[in-house]
Amino acid sequence: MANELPPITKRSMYFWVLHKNKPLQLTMITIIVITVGMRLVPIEMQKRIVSDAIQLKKIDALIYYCMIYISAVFLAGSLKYAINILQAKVGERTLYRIRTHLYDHILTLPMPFFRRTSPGLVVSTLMAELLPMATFAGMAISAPLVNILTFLAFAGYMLYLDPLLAGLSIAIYPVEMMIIPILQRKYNSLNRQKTNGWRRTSSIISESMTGIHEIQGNCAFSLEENKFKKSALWLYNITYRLLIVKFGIKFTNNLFQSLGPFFLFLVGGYLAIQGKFELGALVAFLSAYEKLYDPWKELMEFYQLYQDCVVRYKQVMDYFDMAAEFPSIPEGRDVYKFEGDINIKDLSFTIGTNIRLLDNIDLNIKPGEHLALVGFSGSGKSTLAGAVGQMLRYTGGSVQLDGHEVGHMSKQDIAENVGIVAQHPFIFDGTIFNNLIYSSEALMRQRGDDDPELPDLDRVIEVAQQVGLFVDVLGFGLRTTLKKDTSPELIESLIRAREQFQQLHGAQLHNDIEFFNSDNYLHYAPIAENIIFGASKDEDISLKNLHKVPQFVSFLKEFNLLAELELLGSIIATRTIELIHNSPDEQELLQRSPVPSDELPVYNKIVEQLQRAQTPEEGLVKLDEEGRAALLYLSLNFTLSQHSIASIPEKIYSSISEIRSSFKTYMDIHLPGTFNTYCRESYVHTLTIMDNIAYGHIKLDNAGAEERVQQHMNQLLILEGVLETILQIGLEHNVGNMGEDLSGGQRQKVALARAFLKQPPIYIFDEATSALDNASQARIQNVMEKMLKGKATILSVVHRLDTLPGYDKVAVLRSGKLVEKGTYEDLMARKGALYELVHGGS
Amino acid sequence: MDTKPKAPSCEYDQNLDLLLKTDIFSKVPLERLRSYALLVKRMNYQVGEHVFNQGDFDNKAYLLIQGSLSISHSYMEKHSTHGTVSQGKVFGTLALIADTERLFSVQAVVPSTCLLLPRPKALSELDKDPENAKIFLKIITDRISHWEKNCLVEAATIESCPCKYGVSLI
Repeated sequence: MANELPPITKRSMYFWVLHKNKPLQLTMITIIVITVGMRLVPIEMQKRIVSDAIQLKKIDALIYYCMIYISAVFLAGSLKYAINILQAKVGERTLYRIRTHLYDHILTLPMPFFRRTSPGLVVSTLMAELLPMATFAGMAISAPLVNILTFLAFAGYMLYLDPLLAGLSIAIYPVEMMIIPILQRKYNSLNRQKTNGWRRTSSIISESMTGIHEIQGNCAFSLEENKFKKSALWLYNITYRLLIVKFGIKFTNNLFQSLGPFFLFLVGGYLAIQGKFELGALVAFLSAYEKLYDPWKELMEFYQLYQDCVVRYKQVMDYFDMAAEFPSIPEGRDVYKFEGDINIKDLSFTIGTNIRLLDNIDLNIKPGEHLALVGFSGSGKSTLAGAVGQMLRYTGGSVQLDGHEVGHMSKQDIAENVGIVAQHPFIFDGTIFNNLIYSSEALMRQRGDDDPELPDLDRVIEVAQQVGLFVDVLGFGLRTTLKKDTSPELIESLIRAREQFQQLHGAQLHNDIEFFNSDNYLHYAPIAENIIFGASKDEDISLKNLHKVPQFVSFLKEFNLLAELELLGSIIATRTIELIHNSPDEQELLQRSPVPSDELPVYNKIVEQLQRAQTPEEGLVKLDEEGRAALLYLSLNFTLSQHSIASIPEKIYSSISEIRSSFKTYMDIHLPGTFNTYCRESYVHTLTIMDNIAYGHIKLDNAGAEERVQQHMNQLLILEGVLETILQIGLEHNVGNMGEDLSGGQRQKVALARAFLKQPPIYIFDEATSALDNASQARIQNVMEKMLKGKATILSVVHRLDTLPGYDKVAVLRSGKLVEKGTYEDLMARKGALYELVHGGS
Repeated sequence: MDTKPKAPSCEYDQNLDLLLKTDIFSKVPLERLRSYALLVKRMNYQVGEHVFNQGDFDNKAYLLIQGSLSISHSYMEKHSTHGTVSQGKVFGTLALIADTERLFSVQAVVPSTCLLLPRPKALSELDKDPENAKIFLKIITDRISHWEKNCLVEAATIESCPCKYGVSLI
């Protein structure tokens, strides 16, 4: 039978010291014993060098003892190095184990814990407060052992040299051992208070950062400052007192240490003068005494570390010391596999002083049946869905799935049988694919499969299509810029698709695409791209750093474009900075201007200088080289369709064709082979796949242009056999921190696909389609009716009442009570609560 | 003969001018409006293209600067048209206060161009700019009241009012 481990929050610190560390600890003990022996050799050698070699003038003996001395010192040093490495390994491994076990435990804690605890506090507790545990775990056995043994060895050696002297100098230690713990107890008590104060202060900071809008709105600076000051002052006082005690311990220790040499010099010196004690022995004695202090000092430090860890460890474990609301895995049985029957009887959920959020609900949903839950705001719909999905522990009655009580099930039972989609699903940092397979992967890992067989690409694409995410994923794929090492086959296919696209759809889509035409100015491209009319082949030169390429700047100068562009840059900078100064929408404004947000201070300074001059031209003349380059950057990145803030110089706009051909001629001489010109036969790696196929830029200010172009491309991608590859590229799109790249609708589609990929017998939707447009909503409704009816049970909190006819039954809640239940037609005919809801009664 | 194309004039200046001519934005302090004019975007609609659909949730208003748009509504497969939006008109302003469900569909009858008017920061974060928030809220409230006043005059002249009660009484 496997050893039953105690719950994580009940484990002692020494449990971690030994847990899976025994072989390493034993190796350390062995090395320590050898090291202690090695440490005595140099002292003995010191004695022999003075007494047997120097005093007797024996050169051979001197060399012999010196060699032994240095070998022993080197060996002891090497062994100490090995001990340090082993200590670090044990310490860091232990910290890793505590953190991972504790993290697993925290994830299972009841929801109320997370509602009352700030995430920042959990982070700092798990990361910062446990840090000293690494040092402690590494030293827990080795430090006391090595230091006690060393102490005893040196003390024994001193006794061997002179019992009287040794007795006198060691006698101070027992006295010290009585005084230090008294001070240490005081230190511990203050340390505990300091940790609590630290948490309180952190909590205040975290709270004010989260509620900054409320604080600024109420101009509550003084109020908040007061709160913080009070807590910070308390923390200061405690820390100050703690340091007084800490230095007091150090002072006491040093004082006692100084008493040793005092006795040695007094008594030892007297004995040496009297000729009763060899001079060499006195030197060795002093050296041994000095060495005696080292292990003692280290023991004291270890003792303080131990006490510090005791306080911290206990507080960390106490903080998380609560049992998970539901077990993670089933005990002594297999995971349930349900048909999908939901039976709710007398269900109640009470909070506070008898506030009933659910009041004796009776509801039965047969396997494969679809039930819509509707009601006014605050009627308990989401609470009921949460009770069925084990998101909360109900306080009365029962909820049974296939006859098994939800309250007695493990989380794995629920995950295996229920797919939950919330109104605001959480999207994790990672690719769309990772987010889609999240539930399936989680389930397989929970089943103990370390290398889970994830849903294959075809299945993921099929589900993406069902929930209407296909177009979004394809869009992400088409908006990707391919790397230069992309397979030549894909590139060739895309160029072929480009030809087909032009032939089949070119004329039809001229309103949606600005095709590359060397005679026309490109409204949807920056000025830099307009001049080059192509891309750089050199990876070190991009549209973003052209303003720093000397040959490019020389070209602009030679063709009298530089002054025009710098002037445009100065207009853009001045206008942007002026508008930003008068508006709270700094970030939004910067998105509509080529001024990069991280360079704002630089442009602030430039504008200040420009404004000091009488005219913009004069301002430009006075500006240094760097400032003018910064302005050139702005104008080169100015895109007519995107940046409305200025107009383009007439000369550049109307003569773009001549500028392009001059640029080509100039660069063929001054920077040959660096730039490619757009041509239908070659792929451009600086453009997206979509722009490459379109051979132009999509007119994003034409409503629906991107969708129409994409639609026409789909067929060609299928014909070229690259649709799946592009979808795969789209699935690999990183959605950013908490899915910031996805719209509300896309997030809900991802969450729905996640649940569908898992194929559970029961689905719980809590306003899961509220952010979807009508078409996507209809598509999901269709999937539910055509593919899931009769196959999976659905309990859905519904916000769009026009979807109700698609459900087998409708249940209406009001103030936590079930007031109506039946088919949509029956309830509407009854003209009761549902009728009132549908017809907008309040 | 010079056939070279002329560079378009500064869109920002045009947008500011258009906003100044509307009733809703003409009362906003000029310095705020100057910043806001940079945040608006132009969107072109082909014939039949929807500006928004009934049932969509939206967070912006629109100013029709060119073309013509039809307003329609469907209920239980019954489709009805409720007039057109004319050039220079701002519509959909309730969505500037909060995300609102569109009760109508608006569609381009001829190729049209709208200025998309995002929710001003003063309305998305009321505490940041309360003075301007008040101005916007007052303007939108006045529009509702003005709309109903017209509606009532119209109802009085056609001797029947289809409304259960006035929208300004909610």
